[in-house]
Amino acid sequence: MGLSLDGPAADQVEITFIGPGYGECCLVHLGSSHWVIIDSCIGASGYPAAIEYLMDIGVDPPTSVQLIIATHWHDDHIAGLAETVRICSSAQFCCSAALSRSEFLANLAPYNERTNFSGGSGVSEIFEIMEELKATTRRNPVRALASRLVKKFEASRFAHSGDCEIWTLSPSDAQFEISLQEIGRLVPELNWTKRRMPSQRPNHLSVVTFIKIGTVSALFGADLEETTNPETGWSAIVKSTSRPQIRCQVFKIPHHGSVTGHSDDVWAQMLEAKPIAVATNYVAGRKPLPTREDIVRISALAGEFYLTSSNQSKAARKREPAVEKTIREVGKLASIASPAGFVRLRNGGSLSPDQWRAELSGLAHKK
Amino acid sequence: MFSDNTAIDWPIFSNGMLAPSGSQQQISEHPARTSLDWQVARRNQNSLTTDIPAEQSVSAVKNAAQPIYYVPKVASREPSERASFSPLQEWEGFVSEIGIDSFTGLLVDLTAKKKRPEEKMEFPISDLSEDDKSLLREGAIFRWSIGYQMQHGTKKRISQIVFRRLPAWTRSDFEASKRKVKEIAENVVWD
Repeated sequence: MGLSLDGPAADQVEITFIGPGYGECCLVHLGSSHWVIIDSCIGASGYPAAIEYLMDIGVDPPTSVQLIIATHWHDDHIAGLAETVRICSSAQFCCSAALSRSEFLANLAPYNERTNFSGGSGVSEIFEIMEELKATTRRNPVRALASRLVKKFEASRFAHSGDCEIWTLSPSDAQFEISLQEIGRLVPELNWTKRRMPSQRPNHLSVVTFIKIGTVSALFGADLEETTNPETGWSAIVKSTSRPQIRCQVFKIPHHGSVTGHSDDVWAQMLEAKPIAVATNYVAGRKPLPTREDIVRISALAGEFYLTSSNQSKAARKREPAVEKTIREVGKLASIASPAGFVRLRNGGSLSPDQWRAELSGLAHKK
Repeated sequence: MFSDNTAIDWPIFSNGMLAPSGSQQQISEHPARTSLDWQVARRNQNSLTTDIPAEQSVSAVKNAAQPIYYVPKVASREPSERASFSPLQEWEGFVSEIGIDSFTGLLVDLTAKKKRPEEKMEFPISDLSEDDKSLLREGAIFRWSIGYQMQHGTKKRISQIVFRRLPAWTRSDFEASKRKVKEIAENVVWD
């Protein structure tokens, strides 16, 4: 991993971002060994990266993870999530309210019926999680909605003596309805050749999370994009009067730094001046993210800006010469699987909660 | 023409096609019957003929209520040697994005027994056959193979992309998915 393997002190807040270039995951230490996991990607040993990390630093996931949030079901956010839910047996699961609606699941479910693709159906993690929730007596899952307090911990729980609130800020009702219609258009018909669930863009259902721990606060932008409709995207969140009106010090940049996830109003109204910004790369697309323009834009707004990986295309694994030669004749084959990069932020605990120190490993770097 | 046959044993020729037992002598009397490449045809009431794939023909013949005729296919030359393909590398992929003249596929390396997409490739759409172009859409599953093709004693290195045509969604798939969603709705209690 490359980071020190000491866990955070009981009164220390930690926010760790993991990104292998295709996939992302965030972990938050609320204090006194209470952890939250947002999304999932695969780590070096093939297990969920969040679980690997927690075990490396001596944390027991089944007892320490309190909440697992699935922001949306794109492959780069949910790989290994079902396994994470299984392992973290005392954690509550939180996802978009859409997944609690039968008509919504009914639209996705056919994609999970014997698609027989080596790489999964695109919705298999969702249904594995639902099966897990169905089979166990764990605490009820919680719906993520706009401006909803999903978890609250009293200050007495923590060595830092600050209280903790975890809010979801999306999806809004309008986002939900639009998504329902869009998903409806993807429903397969009888006798269609089976295919993988296509990604939905823009992703109206992405769950934005706000976490306040004492005087510290962070905003996790997931993949939410800005739209021209003021009732959806970031505009709907910014104008909400029922969300916490607290400016955040740490910002997980939405949608891998893409300009489609940018909102000037978020920087002006939801973040402290010059916050710490962290983006995860996305190398699986035709145009890797963030682009140079994205990096310039974010760097100008952030006090410190970190990336978890690199957009440099990585050579695919070596194969025999005849195969290599043929690949070159067809095009450029690139690897999208890299060792995960880590950006770990830890504050100064009770004495200096607003002082953050960053540690990086793998391809993670500061811009 | 042969006489009606409704239930007979079917020897399989070396090329995988079927021929009626005990009929080879009759076959060889026809000028075109030196070829072992036979089609099995069934004449329906309107005297139309339909080709039946060899692997389906046994049950078709055994179950047929109508008279069945076996018509030798006229071969213009000796049957050609079948091309064989020996794969060196295979991927299964899905279409993640489609551009104007290319598409991006995320690939699972089957040769290395991978379980998740770990590579991406941009393929020119012009490399696809016309049939495959009609199947190009986001989420479509395809196989990309690189290997050697052997034919007429020659060895050729080829790259081949084939889009999946089957399986298709069936009624039972939709029914099963409805049942699963109903079970989830009944058993998962949300806060």
